Amino acid sequence: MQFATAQEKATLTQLELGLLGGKSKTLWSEETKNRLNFSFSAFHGKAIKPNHYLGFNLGFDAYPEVSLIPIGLGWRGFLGDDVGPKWMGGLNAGFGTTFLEKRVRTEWSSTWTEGGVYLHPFLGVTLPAKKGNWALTSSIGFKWQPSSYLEGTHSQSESRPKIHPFWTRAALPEGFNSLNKVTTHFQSLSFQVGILF
Amino acid sequence: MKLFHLHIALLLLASTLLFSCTDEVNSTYTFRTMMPVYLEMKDVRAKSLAPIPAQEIEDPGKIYIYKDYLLINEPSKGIHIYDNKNPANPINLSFIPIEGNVDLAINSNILYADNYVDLLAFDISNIQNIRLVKRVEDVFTHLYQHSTGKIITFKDTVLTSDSPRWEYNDMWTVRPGMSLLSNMAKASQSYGTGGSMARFTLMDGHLFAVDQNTLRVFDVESPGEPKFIKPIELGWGIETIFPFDQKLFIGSNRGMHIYDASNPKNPMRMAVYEHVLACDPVVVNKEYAFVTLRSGNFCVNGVNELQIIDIQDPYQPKLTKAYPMLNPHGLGLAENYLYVAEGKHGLKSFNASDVLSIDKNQLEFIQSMKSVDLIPGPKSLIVIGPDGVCQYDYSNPAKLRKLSCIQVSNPIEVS
Repeated sequence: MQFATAQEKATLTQLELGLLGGKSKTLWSEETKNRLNFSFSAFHGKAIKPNHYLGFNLGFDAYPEVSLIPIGLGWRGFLGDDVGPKWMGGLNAGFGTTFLEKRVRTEWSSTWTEGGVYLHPFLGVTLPAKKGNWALTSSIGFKWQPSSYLEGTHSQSESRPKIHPFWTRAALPEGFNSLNKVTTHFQSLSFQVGILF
Repeated sequence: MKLFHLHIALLLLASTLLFSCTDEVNSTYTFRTMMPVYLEMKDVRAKSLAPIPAQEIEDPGKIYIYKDYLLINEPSKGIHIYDNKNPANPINLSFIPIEGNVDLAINSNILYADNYVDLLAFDISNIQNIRLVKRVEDVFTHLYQHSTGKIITFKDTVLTSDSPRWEYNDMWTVRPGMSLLSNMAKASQSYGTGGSMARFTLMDGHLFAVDQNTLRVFDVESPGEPKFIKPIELGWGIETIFPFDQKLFIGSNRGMHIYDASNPKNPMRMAVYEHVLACDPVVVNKEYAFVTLRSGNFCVNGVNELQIIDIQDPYQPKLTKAYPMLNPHGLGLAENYLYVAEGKHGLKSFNASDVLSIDKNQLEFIQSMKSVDLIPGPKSLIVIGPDGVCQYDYSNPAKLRKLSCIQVSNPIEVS
């Protein structure tokens, strides 16, 4: 039995491992350095019409100084004959969380990391397995994903100002005297392989 | 074979493009600071000083009790007027918008208030019809920036730049807490008559006003016609003034000045009681001055204590005893009972009739009552803290009972 998409499957799961390649840049100079980072992504969706699936996306991206857990929505679309390889298009979009990052709080200051809204369009192919209802996938895409490192000094010593669990909206949140925010917009070419079932 | 070629093509494309994307990095530095604001007094004087409908208190400043009224200064903005006939239910009546106002005092239905460099006198005999009766110009001249002839004030501002720095668009700024005016505003968050942290006070037909280094004397024997008499240089770091028995007790961050004001037109220095650098509100009875020294903000010495100073010979004040405290701010004395605002630690009441054993006569320590200053008023003990302006029944000093709290939108931060 060959892997098929819309005609036969009401739901679709895709697991992918991959690499995110790009150039990191230092803040105060134009110096750049190649980076290659590990990425994992899982998608589970429902058929919304033939060859189109909409669902949830969860992942893990290990950048040089921060690990992000993207949580969002995803779309997968397929083009091709029912039998044999197919073209695959996809889009993941959501919010990159920083649950794995530690917050450091002292009497005087707090440092923490925040994620941001990410976007990951990609194109690829599916190769159906000879046996079983699954397929290999391979794709390349572009992943845009911000992350910020924040360091705030408390307006009162020994105070513990609240920190928003996702992202700080105010330029200077209550309880802080100053806030230094360095935001990196990671712009990566993604290369991923995985399975569909 | 076709599929193999497709994969090779994809790999080639990927390896070519893999490092072609460059991350974008940017930085913002947002900080709270005091920005200088330059004002022309002619513009300030042109503004209306007529009372407007009641406003919510944002940031309570000095408090003044007069008859059945409670007046609360909003630093640099004006004065809120409350009907306080029933301390359990104070009623917000109106607001007098006075730019640059930080202190007030009332003498025979005349309210005195500073308006940057000017002293204003309002007739408040009819609280529904408050009107300005006199403006004494150019008396608090320390606010003038002499090179420009303009007033310089500082506004609490949040700025954002792309890097941590203190210069901004060719202007200079100071860190909050480091500016003298900010420090004054901070300290001014709870001054008032009966309060230990007042900068305006009345005695024997004269108004005495202190700024950081000067005592200014006004003749108010004719209440509606205040006359500026003279400035008296005191030295740096002046914080509070407390009148008692024809004497002025002036708290500075280096000690306590005692002035003989038996001739109020010309107060004469009797003594300066010096101690370590600390912030020190003062209250006084006939024999002793009670001074709190605390660390924090500008008061950096790490000393937290209540000092009892024998002033029976005001020319030779001497320390009788010092008691360790946690972080004492304002204090108040009502007959033999002493109340101490212990900042974030709470509020204490003592029987102070025996000054040598005050520590053994602590009546109550309410740790939940964070406070920076207090005023023992005729009807209630007014306590200023993060909960706002609260009033307590203190008929039993060993058991204070909360009557009411006026909420404020920007509560005092207690350190």
